[in-house]
Amino acid sequence: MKVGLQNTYHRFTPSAVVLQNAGINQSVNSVSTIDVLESGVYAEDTWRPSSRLRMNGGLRLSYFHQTGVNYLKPEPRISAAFTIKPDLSIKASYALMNQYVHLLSNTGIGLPTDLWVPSTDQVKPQQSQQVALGLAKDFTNKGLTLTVEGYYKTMTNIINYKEGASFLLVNDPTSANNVRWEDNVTAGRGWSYGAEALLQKKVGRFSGWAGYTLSWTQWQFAELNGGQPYYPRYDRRHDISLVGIYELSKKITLSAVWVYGTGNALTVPVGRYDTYRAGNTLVYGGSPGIVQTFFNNPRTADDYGTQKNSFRAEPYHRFDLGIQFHKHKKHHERTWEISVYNLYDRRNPFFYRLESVAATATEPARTALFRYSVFPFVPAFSYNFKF
Amino acid sequence: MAGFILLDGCTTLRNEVDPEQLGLAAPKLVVSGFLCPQDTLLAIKVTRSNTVVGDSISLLQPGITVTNAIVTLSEGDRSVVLPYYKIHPSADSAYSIPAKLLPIIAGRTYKLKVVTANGQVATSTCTIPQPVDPLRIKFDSLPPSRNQPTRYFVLVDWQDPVGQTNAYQVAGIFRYTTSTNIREERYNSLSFDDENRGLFSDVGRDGTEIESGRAFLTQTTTAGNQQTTFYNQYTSASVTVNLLSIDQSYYRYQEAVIRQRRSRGNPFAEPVIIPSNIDGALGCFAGYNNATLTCKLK
Repeated sequence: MKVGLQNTYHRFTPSAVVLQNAGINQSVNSVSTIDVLESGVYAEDTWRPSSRLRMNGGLRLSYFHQTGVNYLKPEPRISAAFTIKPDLSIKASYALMNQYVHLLSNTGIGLPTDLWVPSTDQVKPQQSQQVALGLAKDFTNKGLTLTVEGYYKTMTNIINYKEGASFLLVNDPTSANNVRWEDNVTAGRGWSYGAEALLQKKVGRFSGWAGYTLSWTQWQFAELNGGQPYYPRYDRRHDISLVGIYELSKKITLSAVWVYGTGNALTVPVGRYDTYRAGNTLVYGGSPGIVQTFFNNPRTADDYGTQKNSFRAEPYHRFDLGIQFHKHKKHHERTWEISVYNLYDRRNPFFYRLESVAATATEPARTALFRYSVFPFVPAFSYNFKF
Repeated sequence: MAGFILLDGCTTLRNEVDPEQLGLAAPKLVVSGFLCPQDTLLAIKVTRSNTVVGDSISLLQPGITVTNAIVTLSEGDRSVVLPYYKIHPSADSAYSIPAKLLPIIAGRTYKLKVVTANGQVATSTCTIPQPVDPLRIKFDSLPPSRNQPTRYFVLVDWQDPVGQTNAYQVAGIFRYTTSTNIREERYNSLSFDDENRGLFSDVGRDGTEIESGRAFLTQTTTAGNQQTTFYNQYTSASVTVNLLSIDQSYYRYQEAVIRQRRSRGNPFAEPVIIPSNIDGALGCFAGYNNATLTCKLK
């Protein structure tokens, strides 16, 4: 049996500074901090009812404390593995988990602003339950292991910004201090399911793995998207990683990594249209001569489509290549590495922006969507040592 | 070499995206129409949206009006086709008929069907809510401050019916004559300063008495003498309040429009999706019922 204790102390400093067409001489007010203690005590045990069956059960008691707020929640987990043949086993697991620090992401096309915020009296801890069923097969003669796993996960008390809400108001630099972020968020539920396949090779001159995950994640909030489910920003349908390391000699290795992920789900304006108010056809007070005119003074609105996050950013992928030169010294091992990040110079999207394009001799001025990227082809040189 | 490549990379980190990826197939149909038993005309507006990506000339144009659609309103077995024409000299054109051709009655459900010349179809239904009378108009003032003279305003109270889902839009006018122009009655629309500019829902306060925000009483011309009291400024003054009992689809639509406009221009704000209760189109088709209260101030 194993037992353990864990303590994490967080200090949050929620603040933001807005500088708009201003000289950078604005003073930044000190903001209040939020101190949080997160603790956990756990015990787990493994037992073998038969030579083929191995079971593991555990219980973690998690505790969260912030001024005026305390949460104590049990987190049971159980897993079982059954060996069908020496090279084939099946496994199943269940786990309940609580997360006291929430990730708050925006869904517009602008700069991604991911914030980590603590649970409070208003914002309950996020809770998830997951069941998984998997199969593991060893191909001993080839040095390969294949695992295939399916999972289903439910989440409660997840949070998202309310529509129209912002962590800060651009025209009010002090807004981040004045607005309680809890007032800008709304709670809902979510679910996720999918399958993962992983083929690993750990022995021989060539090692590495190939992993593929097919998954769906959906969120549902009473206050968002008309109460209908939608795909959150980080819903990723396909996720692929290919990693290979080849030992040219005892002193030189080659490494290559290729990753691919479906683009983020975002909410993008696709059009603009006029909206009107009711009551503009009334004869006020019954007096002739005072008639509001019909369908005048429309208010222009942005059309974001009928579903939240119905726009998919372009997929993320890149290829990294490296060569490592190893040498065992007397007391340590040193490695020189020459590598290239994003070898084929893929322009992965970091954020999108609608911008005006000036007129040319042949085309009128227009509005266009632009993708902004970071980290293009980046060569690197590094030195590591292990002792 | 590496430095050159990095520098080269930085110059092209901004790239235009194919608009097809946005799903910009074609402008969408937009339908707006609000039915009320007190109206003398029934009017439906049909336009098309502009795509957000495109040349600046089309983007500057207002919604493209659709003039050759067949617009049909029906209730029970009665059905009328609304022709397209200019309703009022100072108004934009719309599909319209006199209200007596299809009486709008509280509690009844009306169907709208729009068929465009190119075969697009938009349909919707709305039910006319029961009216809710305003209880009282409160007249009050803010004391003068360093920059402002005394400011006069009105508030409106009404009793929300118990056990129903209700929503409201408060509107109205301030009518007055001044001693300088005693024969010409002037008026100003009331603008309420509550969070949603006079738009209310009874969620969380069902069956209670609801009070609007303040609507300040202002003149169209600047006051001659700011030191004079309200009663000395006007020869006659009255406030007429229209309490519109609105259906839920209109509340959701208008509340989203207000919220979207409030966060416009803030790149960090979460986008606001405006709901549509029309199959095949953006916009809103809704019913409302008007109840009026007038308060003579002088």
